[in-house]
Amino acid sequence: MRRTAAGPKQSLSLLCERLEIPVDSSGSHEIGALHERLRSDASARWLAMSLRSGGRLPTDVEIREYARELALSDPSEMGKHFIHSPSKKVSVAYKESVLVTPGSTDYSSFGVGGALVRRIAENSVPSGRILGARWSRDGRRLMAGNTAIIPWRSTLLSVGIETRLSRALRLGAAARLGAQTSIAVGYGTTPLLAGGESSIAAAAWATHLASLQRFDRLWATDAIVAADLEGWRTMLSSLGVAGPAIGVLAPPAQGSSSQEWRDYVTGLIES
Amino acid sequence: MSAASPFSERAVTALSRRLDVVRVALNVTVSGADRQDSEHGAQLAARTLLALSSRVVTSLDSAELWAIYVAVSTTYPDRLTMERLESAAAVGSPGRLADLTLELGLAAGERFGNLSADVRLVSGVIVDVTFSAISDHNTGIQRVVRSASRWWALDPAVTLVAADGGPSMHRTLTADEAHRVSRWNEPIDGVSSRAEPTDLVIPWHAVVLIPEVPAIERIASLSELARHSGNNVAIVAHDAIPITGREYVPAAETERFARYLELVTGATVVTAVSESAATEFKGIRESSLAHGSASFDVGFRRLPMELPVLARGRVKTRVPVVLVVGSREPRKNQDAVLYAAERLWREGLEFELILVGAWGWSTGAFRSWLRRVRAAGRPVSAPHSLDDDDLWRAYDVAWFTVFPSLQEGFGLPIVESLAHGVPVITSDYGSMAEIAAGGGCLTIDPREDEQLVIAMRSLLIEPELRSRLAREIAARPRDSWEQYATDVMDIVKLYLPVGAEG
Repeated sequence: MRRTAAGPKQSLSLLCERLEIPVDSSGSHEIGALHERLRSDASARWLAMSLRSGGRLPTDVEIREYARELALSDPSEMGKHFIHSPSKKVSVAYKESVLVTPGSTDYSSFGVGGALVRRIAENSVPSGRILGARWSRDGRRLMAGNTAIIPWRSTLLSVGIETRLSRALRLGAAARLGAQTSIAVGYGTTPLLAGGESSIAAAAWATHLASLQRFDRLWATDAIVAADLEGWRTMLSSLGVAGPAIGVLAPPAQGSSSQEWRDYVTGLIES
Repeated sequence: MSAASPFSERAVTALSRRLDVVRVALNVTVSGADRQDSEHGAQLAARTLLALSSRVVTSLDSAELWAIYVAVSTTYPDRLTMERLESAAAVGSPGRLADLTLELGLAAGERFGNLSADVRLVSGVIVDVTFSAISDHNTGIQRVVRSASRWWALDPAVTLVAADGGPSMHRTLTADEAHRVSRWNEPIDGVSSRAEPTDLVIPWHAVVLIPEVPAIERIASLSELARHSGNNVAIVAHDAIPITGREYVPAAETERFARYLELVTGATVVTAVSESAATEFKGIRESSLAHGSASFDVGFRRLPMELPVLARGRVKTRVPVVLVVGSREPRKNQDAVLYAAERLWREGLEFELILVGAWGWSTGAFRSWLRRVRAAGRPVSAPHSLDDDDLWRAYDVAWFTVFPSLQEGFGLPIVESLAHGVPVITSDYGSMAEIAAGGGCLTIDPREDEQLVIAMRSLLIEPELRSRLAREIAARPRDSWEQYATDVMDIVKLYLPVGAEG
């Protein structure tokens, strides 16, 4: 169920509700319990930081720094953490399916591979019970209309590529800590390893792949891409990361109907 | 860059001599080839080039074509140049091929080569140590290259070479460069200059071993050398961090590394510095193979744990000293050490923290925590550069070291610490876990600050734990750079082209 909050008080209340932090006899939240939960639970910190900042999704580095702040601060100061929460309306999408469409579909620097990304990104649109979210212009929030969306314990589906490091790191942290399940379309590593592509494209592609390291599943566009991604997953062991499970789900052919694209998106989530 | 016009008498005579070197290697007969007088030079060069071109339009051998072009231009060709030359050879006209070779070769030679220089063909193993030869930088890769080159330089089958940028071909080292590469830390026994003459080297039935990541402008020509020169290329691979740990490096480093992979995928063999790094390169091979690229062999020879010659004995201090070695950048995770130290100082533990390392990139978090602990009056020092002598002295006084890096290809500070008998706290995955498995280390998840706090506290307050780790260090098998260099060279020599000397 989706719940909305705006400002410090509502954000703190919604946080406690979602974390199931009890309310004491005076009607106040048990600050000590909340403090302890946030210190020990990175997912809870991710949600708290998202809420207190008006929907700005944190990076792993920011989440870690917040843990340090909590460890070195007094629990009684907990409420202050939310004092500066903006009045911007945020919505916690709880146990929903959230389709993240990219902020930009200009993938021309990726050659033929870029054309495929663009086709999938442009045709994979939200429908039915799937909520669509786009990156805000500053690349820090996921927006559905004018509301910042926080995908909490939801299924997070990413169909584009994230070439900006800030967005890639926020998406990666949301997949690891916010989402119940995280799924993405996998396009392989060609711009990194092909040599013929521009080296700038290679850096952008490496950024995109960094966002996917902690996803649960990648659906490769074909068997060759799946084999390619298995190689990438092998490389991740040096990071102490297992990497996502990789399967194959071919996108609809050029000129397919909207219904076929809807079925594809549903398949990405439910297969 | 060439000082001579390609049409000066000196350059023409030199061209004639260079072509003759290739002619002899290919066993091609040219009348009057034994005369190298200047009057005869232009005609002889033309006749020799034509004879060589005649041979190539028949053989269509890319390696021969590559060598002829290199002799003409004193540079290495890139893919486009080789494609044009191969197309011309396929047409079957020696004159046309000779004209094109001269046109392309002399243009490149004027810009990047040395058209008045002689060349020699070199077989065996050619080790490209360019950056370590020309730079005084001495961290990570340069330490490895210099430590191994010390021994490689003694092997008669090995030639150490450098290149001057762009598509410049290899050349032998000046005395100064040779000292910098293979006798680092030894007093200089003479004066030499970069300007002193060196020999240009054409690798011939050789293995070109590349233990550094070359400058980006050299990669296209080295990739072509790997694919079409008839030589094999061997790589000492250090890590694939620029593509797997994108957030830990500047974009430019990833761009450079992606170009480097052109060279790697054209190589014959990759010898990684750890099993973890080998796994990364196996992944690269797996991905490349999915797209039909050529394969390469991947293995590893872990870097050794050898006590440096300058090291002295351990020095006992009253107050515990905790040492952190490594450049200041997000990947090294030193802000976590400063945070953990602050937690322990607040608990009342007494110790001094020394962080040694050069300033890297994106140092905001490190600077912020350093300011914070300094403002609190904590005993912390952070020298940004120490020579080897001072660095070893810092190890000598350390009670333990902390190296909680988020990603490494190896982790030299871990073995340096162990070589000094100093226990290490390091990360529980990748190459760091690999080294730690041999004993003397506590491992932690470097992304979990609390684990670091616990490990540091334990080593500060539990003398029996420090003793146990010290015993484990003493029991670790010792290894040497000499053995490492020998082992790598033994592997590389397995890949000498068939019929090669050396």
